[in-house]
Amino acid sequence: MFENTILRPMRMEDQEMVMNWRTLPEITRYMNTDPVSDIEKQKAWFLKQQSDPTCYYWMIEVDNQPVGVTSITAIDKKNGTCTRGTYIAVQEKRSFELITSVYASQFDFVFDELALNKIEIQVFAENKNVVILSKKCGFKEEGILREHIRKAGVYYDVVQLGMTKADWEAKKKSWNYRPIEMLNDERRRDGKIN
Amino acid sequence: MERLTEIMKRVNPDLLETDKRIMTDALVDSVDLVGIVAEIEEVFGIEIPIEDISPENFDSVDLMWSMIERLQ
Repeated sequence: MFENTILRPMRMEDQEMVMNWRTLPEITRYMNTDPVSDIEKQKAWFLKQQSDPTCYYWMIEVDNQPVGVTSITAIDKKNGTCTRGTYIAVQEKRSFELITSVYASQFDFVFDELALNKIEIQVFAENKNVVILSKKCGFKEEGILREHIRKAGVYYDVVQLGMTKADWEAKKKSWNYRPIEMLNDERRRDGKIN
Repeated sequence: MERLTEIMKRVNPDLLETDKRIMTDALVDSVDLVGIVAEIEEVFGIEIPIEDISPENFDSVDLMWSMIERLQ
């Protein structure tokens, strides 16, 4: 187990911090959208996602301090797919061990708890090290989406990557990662959202 | 070893001088570490599996060199 670290459900009181993180240049640089600082919109977004059965958002906490966000979104139960995202906003916590443990814990959750079959992600092609990191964690490249995202008038190529349940089961055999405790939304556990 | 030193100079020359542990003491973030891994793989023609990206292999340049020799 990864000591002193948990993933806990995002709360309303996190929203100002999350909004400030999401507007940091190093965070928005490789996001599909350009978020703006508007706390009312941020809170409205949070309320909407709380009742959305196709997504989960967690705060990454180290020593009781939030350091980043990780999510599973676009859950499609019919096709068994979802996508995911993670950012660590606190620079001194952006270690390889933390980020890969967040990834691996989330993969277990997707395939074991949610019983989905595939995770799909898209990474800006120029964000080469994240493409490499994703492949190291078990994703396979499935293609290049040319000029797929337009930001500030510039088109960017995007790498499409996917990991199936079988890919993850094969990867887990050799990767002795340290899982992170994941706390889940009580409403979901109670079946009020499903 | 010289080629590894060149890689480290390109990424962050301070990493050659430090007495601290590169991974354990978080001298590089995850993305920069992956950059080092990618350069080593390209220059030395090896593949470094994720289970080898650990403090045991990346806390110092000497440890990286030992890993490269083992994987070649």
